[in-house]
Amino acid sequence: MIVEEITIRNWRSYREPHTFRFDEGFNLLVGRNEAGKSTIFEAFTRVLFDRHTSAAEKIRQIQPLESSLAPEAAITFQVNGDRYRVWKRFLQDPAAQFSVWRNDHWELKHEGDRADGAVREILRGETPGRASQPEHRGLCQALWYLQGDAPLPEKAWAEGVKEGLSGFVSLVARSPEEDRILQRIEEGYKISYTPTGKVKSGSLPDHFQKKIPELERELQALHGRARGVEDLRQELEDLAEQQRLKAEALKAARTEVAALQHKLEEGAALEEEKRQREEIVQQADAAEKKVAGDRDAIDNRRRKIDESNKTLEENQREADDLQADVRMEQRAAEKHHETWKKTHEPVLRQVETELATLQAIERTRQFEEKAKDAQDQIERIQAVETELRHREHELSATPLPTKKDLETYREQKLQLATLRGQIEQAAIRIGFDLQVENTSITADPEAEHLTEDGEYLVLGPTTFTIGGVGTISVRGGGSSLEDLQANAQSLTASFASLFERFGVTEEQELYDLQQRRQDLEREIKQLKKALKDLTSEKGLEQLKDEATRIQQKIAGEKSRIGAAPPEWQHLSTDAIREMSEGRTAKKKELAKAIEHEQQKEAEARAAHDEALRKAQVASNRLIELRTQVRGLEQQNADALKSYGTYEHLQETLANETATHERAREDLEALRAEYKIRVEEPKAQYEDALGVVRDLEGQMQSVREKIIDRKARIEEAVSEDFYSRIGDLEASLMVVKRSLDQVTRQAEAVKLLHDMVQVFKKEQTTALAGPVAEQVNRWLMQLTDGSYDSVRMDENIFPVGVSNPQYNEALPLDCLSYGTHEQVIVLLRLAMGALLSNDERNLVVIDDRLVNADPIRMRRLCQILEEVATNHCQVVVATCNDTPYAGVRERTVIPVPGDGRAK
Amino acid sequence: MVRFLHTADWQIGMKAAHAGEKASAVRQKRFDAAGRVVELAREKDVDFVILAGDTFEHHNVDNAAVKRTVDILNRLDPIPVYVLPGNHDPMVPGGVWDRDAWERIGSHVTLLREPQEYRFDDGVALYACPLAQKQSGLDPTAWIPNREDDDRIRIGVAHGSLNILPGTVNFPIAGDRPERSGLDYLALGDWHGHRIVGRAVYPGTMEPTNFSEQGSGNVLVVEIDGAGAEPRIEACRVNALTWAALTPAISTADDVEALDAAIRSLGTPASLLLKVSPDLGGCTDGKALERLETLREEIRENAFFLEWTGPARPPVIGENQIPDGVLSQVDETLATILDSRIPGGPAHQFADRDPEVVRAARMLLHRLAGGRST
Repeated sequence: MIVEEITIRNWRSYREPHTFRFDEGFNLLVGRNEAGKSTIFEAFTRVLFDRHTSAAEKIRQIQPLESSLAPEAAITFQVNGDRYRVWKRFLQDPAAQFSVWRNDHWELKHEGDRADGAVREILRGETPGRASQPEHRGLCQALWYLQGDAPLPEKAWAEGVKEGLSGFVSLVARSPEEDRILQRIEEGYKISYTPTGKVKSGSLPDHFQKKIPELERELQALHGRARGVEDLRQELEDLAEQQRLKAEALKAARTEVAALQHKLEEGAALEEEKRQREEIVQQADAAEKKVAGDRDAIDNRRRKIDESNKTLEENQREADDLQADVRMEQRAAEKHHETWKKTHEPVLRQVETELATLQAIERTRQFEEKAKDAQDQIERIQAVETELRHREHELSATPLPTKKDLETYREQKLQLATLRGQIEQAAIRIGFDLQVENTSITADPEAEHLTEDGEYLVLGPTTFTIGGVGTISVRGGGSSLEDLQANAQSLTASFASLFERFGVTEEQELYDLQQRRQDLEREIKQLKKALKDLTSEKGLEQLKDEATRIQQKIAGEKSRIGAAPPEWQHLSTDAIREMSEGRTAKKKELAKAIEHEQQKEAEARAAHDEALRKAQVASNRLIELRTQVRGLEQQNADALKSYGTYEHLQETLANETATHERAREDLEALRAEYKIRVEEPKAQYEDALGVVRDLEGQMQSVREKIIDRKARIEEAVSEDFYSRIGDLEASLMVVKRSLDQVTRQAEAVKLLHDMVQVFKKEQTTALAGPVAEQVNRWLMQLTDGSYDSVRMDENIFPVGVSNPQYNEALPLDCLSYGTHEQVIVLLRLAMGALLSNDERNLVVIDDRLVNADPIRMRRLCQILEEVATNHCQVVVATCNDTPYAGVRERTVIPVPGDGRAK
Repeated sequence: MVRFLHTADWQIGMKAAHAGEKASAVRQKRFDAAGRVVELAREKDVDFVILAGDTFEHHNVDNAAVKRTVDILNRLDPIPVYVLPGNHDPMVPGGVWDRDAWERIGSHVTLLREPQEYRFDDGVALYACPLAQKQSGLDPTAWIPNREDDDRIRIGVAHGSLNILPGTVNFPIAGDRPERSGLDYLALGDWHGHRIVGRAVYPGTMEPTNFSEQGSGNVLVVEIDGAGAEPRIEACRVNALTWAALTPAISTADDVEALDAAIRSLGTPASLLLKVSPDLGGCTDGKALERLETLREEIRENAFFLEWTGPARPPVIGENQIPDGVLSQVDETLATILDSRIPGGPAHQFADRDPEVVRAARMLLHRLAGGRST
């Protein structure tokens, strides 16, 4: 198939119609990037292979941007010498037309879907589901190497090659009959199998295979239910058997009950007789018991009387002993009492008196010491107070300059010095240099001599009388000097006043007085501190009070001393202490002894009380016993009244016993018969009734179970699973049979298909030789022998190239991108060449040689020219036509840029 | 004289799985046949009806089946009906006779629960031999007392196998029971084909149940004039469907036509259940095979049910012209494998394929080569 021309409109950048015409040989589509070269090839594929009604996303993308225009294109092409023209409009009002060139005009053959189908059939493509993919292009996918294609889309390549080579095979060898049969086999195969040979989902074998487990599962479930029902029936059968057995047993039990009842009725008379005899026995027994009871009572009482008398004797002895104990304890208590009262206590009193005296002496001495301490403290405090008063008085009475006074004095003194200096400076100095020696000079007022040479300092108006000569009056230094002098005088007066105030004449004395003040102040401070320390615990008044109290205590203690031996007063403190300690120890001893005796007395008295109590109890018991004995004796006497004597009582008892015995014997005899005729049957009757009730209960239980099982069976079978089982079994049989049939049929078709494929492959594999041969020749030409062959797998899928230097093929992935692309281009060219024996086919290379270096490009041009000249229509798209200068015979088709069609 | 209708083995509710997709329809047809029994009973003005066992196929039959059967039997009112539990519907607790649906049976129907005498009237006594289990080696008729000063018509009702065949059978019945026990008629059930052995009679099932039955589809109208008299037995067809299994030998188109004629002779196609297994061993005639296929499709379309199994013997592969090339290679390879030889070249991988598949593949190839579709 070759293309003559294509006209496109409203297609991406092509808004206006634009027509591109192609030569049979080498065509170079030249245009800048984004000029629309690939768009032309896109239009090829869409118009030739896509349904005109497709609205897939890829189809929508061919609309010019921001428009709702309908893309359309028309292609004129040749196949097997016939000229065809197909026009399609997509998206908006989609349409398609397929025309054939007949008799010098275009004859419209098909429209719409038929037009789509007609093109596809001619080009042996496949109906795409949505937008067409390379695998839908049939042979063209092997020969067109477009921008959107991967170099080697595996599946598509394999399919395309197979398609291409199978087409070749068919051109060479396939007859229409063979074609038809192969087609039927293929159709039959595709119905049941996927391309990979697996049973196709949804095919009949698959459908039946899936159906069988479903049916089997359902059948199994229903069989399970049937088994459940059978189990219930089995239970029911068991229950029915149980019911039967129990019914028999019940019948037997009831029969037995009836028989026993009859026996019981017969034994009714015997019952009455037994009752009467029992009554007689009871009466005899009562009578005997009464007499025996009386006798026993009398005997008991006699025994008790004897026992009581014995007890009386014992108790009497005991009471006597207790009385003796009482007396004994009494004597013991008195003895202890006397011991501590009359012996120990007086001694203790004496010792205590002595001890008190000694302690009083000791305390007196202590108090006296304390009194002395207190007094000393008082005196110290008073002394300090006196001293303090003296100092304070002196400080207040004696004028003593303070520090401030002295500071003032010093300041003034300084001022005065300063003033004097100023005065001196301001003063007039006058000196007399007299020719006459020893001339007296006097000043009025006196002027200060400054030098021995007779220079005078004149501070104010001063008149100098120079002896015998005359006078000189000096007015002074002016108002300022007067001020200074006034100030100086003021200060001097102040000094005088200060001195006078403090009664000193010299400065040193002032300082001495100030020092004295400081001393006084320091002493006063010290005295105050000392006073504070002395009175920190107790003040003076407190001490005085304390002293007074101590004196009182001393007086009190002295009064206690009173009758002490006089020599004690003179004993040393240690001796006093020693004597006190001795007395104290003695006192403790005596106290302990007294306590002991008192303890003993208390114990004796307690024992005495206890003995007294017991004696009382014993005495009461004696009285009680005697009363008891008398009572018992009286009772016996009363009891014997109805019998006369004890012997008569015995005799009566014997008679009653005999009577009772006889009645009992008669009763026993009757009872034996009663047991046989009434008792045993009664027990049996009760047992039998019990058995009947049990059986009835069991029967009821079994009946309920039977009802339950029947109900469950009824419920189960009401689900109508039996016929469902039948239907399922029938269906299963049908499905299995169908599965066998269709499986055999499908396997037969598959076997044919597989065999055909194997033989086809054998053929195609053989045919791969020419392709490989052609590619290898060009590969060596292109790479100058670096690679000498392409390695292909069984699907004629290129997997590597051979380097003559190495044994193993170099995988295609290891080649540079450019070389990889070039190999694929060579492969397509070889395919094209091989498949163009009878008619030229179109090979499209869309800008795939951009990575070829100039040398390679030159060689590629040679190859392209060879292919275009001898075999195929070649269309190459490029943005640079310079590398293709090596193709001498070429048609250059410019592609307008920027989407503005001319 | 007493006239009664004797039937058995209604097998109501049978699964009929071997009838494939027609199983349900087959089950329905049995009710139709039972309905015809009712009509016949009235038409023949019988005194009573005996249903000698296997009225129901199984205790678990659908409630609808039981109800419908009850309804059919109730239509016989007031004609008394004696129903005997058989080995498919024995008298067991929780069985079909305990179903709620059966409770609605009319009082004219007597379920022969116990092995005892049932008096129809003063002149006719029925000796019932109900079965209480599915299998047994004991003769259920053994209890029937001998005739002693009894001038009534004595009719035994039992279900089992007359002990006249070799081997062990289920519920064996003494072949001479009628003579031994002084019975005027022994109404039996269990065998699906109509058979008379002295006074012991099987009516057979009133509607065939499978392809291998012979003599089914009848009920019997029996007349006995008096005690000791020979019974007069009339077999009346009531079946709706005809079951037939055919294995015709097909060699020529004439054989196919003969098959066609044979099928038509069985009855109206809509009442036929056919199982056809053609023997194509001697057939080389492609046209005959074509005609056979056409006939198969016609039958499938018109018959009640058709099971057309694979040919008993496959046809000889014809001498169709296989085009040269791949296909001829394929044909040759298939022939080699069918010859139990290993093909050479890449086709050796197919040597171990199932011969049935290989044969089918070759037949398919030749069929395609003969211009026919798969």
